[in-house]
Amino acid sequence: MLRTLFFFAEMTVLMPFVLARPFAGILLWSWFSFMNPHRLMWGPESDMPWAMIVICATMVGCVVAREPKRFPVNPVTIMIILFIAMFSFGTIFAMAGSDEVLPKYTWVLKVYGVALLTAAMLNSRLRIHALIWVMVLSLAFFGIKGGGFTLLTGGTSRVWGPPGTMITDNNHVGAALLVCLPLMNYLRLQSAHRMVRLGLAAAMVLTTFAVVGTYSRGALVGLVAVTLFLWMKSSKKLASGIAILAVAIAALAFMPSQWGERMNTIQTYEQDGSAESRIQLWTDAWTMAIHRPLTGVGFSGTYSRNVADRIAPGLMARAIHSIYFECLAEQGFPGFFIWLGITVAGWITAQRIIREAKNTAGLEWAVDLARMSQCSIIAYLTAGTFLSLSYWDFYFTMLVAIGATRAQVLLTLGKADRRTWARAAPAQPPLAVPGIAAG
Amino acid sequence: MQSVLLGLIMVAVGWLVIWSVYEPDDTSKYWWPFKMKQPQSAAPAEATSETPWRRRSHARSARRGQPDQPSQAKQPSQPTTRPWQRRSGS
Repeated sequence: MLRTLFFFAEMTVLMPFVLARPFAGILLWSWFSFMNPHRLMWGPESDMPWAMIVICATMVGCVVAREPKRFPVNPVTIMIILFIAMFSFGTIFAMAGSDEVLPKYTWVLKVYGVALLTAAMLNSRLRIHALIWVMVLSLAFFGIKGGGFTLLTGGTSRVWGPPGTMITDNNHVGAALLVCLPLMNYLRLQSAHRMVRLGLAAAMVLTTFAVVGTYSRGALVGLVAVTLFLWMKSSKKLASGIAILAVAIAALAFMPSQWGERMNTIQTYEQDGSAESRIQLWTDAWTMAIHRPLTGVGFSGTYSRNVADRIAPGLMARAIHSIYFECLAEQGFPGFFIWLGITVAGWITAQRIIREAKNTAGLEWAVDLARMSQCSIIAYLTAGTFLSLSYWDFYFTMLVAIGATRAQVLLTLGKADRRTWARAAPAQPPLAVPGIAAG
Repeated sequence: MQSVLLGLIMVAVGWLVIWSVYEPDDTSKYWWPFKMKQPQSAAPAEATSETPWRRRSHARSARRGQPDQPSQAKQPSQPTTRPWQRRSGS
């Protein structure tokens, strides 16, 4: 009850700030979207549409606040706009009923729309840093809790995600924590205080245990891919290799035999029912995409028995369990390539940041963020192969932050005037509050 | 444990939200737990940057007793000025 009161008091205090500065609303909205803190409360607060309230207040704040607004045109935002246009067009031809299509369409539109709004607000290094903090705090809660649970139970029970969210499933929460891990490392690298760095390092260790404790084979594949990527990029390959090996041996020794047996089914997937059904689902998704190559079957089409029977009787009607095949079946080939293009744009932008900002004093943060974002992209692309998280807001918010980081790099290097697409709006004037006035 | 962790995160998010509203120029103010490392100064970066020609020209200049050439290394730009401060003449 105490936490509910504290939560309500905090929201009551913070809401006026959202009206005054819409970026405060973006931070709060990110918190509600990624962590769903209200679901951890008791009483009527847990059922209130907090995210809706915050985003409405943010929109009002956008109109009321004197903050300069300039939409950042960069490869990531361009690809997101193209994707919104593409799936909006495809929804006209969706095969499932409107009662199934429209709720998902509205939800996905909200995800990408708010990502664009976030991009418009990320116009300073400190704002980018604050957003990354909120993103990490939101998922670190489940990472620390899950890691502690795994350690206390000896890894005999599975870690599950928060109920009623996008990452409820053990596979989903495993992938989500894996994507969050490199961002934690970015904060650890850039935090000034030793205690905070130690706290983040401890959170990273516990989150790794939580990932392993999900019993998700997809997350394990992603963990291996991320570790290999980090090791390849490491300047001290011997030391980092020994450390990675030590952690891997410790994890293998700690986890019970049932965990090892489940992970071993990766090698014998032909004999595993779960893996077999996934391959069948991917084949069915490919059949749907071939049937409607330009627009796909539309949102929720893969879940509809009616749609599956109209295409080919016998197709499975359920979640596709792959970010690639889910998007391909729902959006068709053009939509799929645009969706993939958002990630490619994010990766190339991160690569450019590393190339341009490397060895430049004052831009170490941007290089660290770009490198760690690339690790997160690898985590999403590998772990996502086995689960349905095509429109995960956390991931696309991170890509938008990469675009904003590039704009800051160009501003610092003095190239922004030549590349008008990268111009960022100046920060807003500080509020004139006595005692807390800026500067 | 969960309540303590949740409480800490609620305080941290509240702190970040309030801080983001004021955006102080001096980030050490009101920013304690989230304070970032200060950017490395330009001088050490120049000395350690991968510009061997810079070091050679520096050595040559020193031998000849001539003043050194301006640095070719990338330098960070000046902190972004605030337009409203310029407008108000402050």
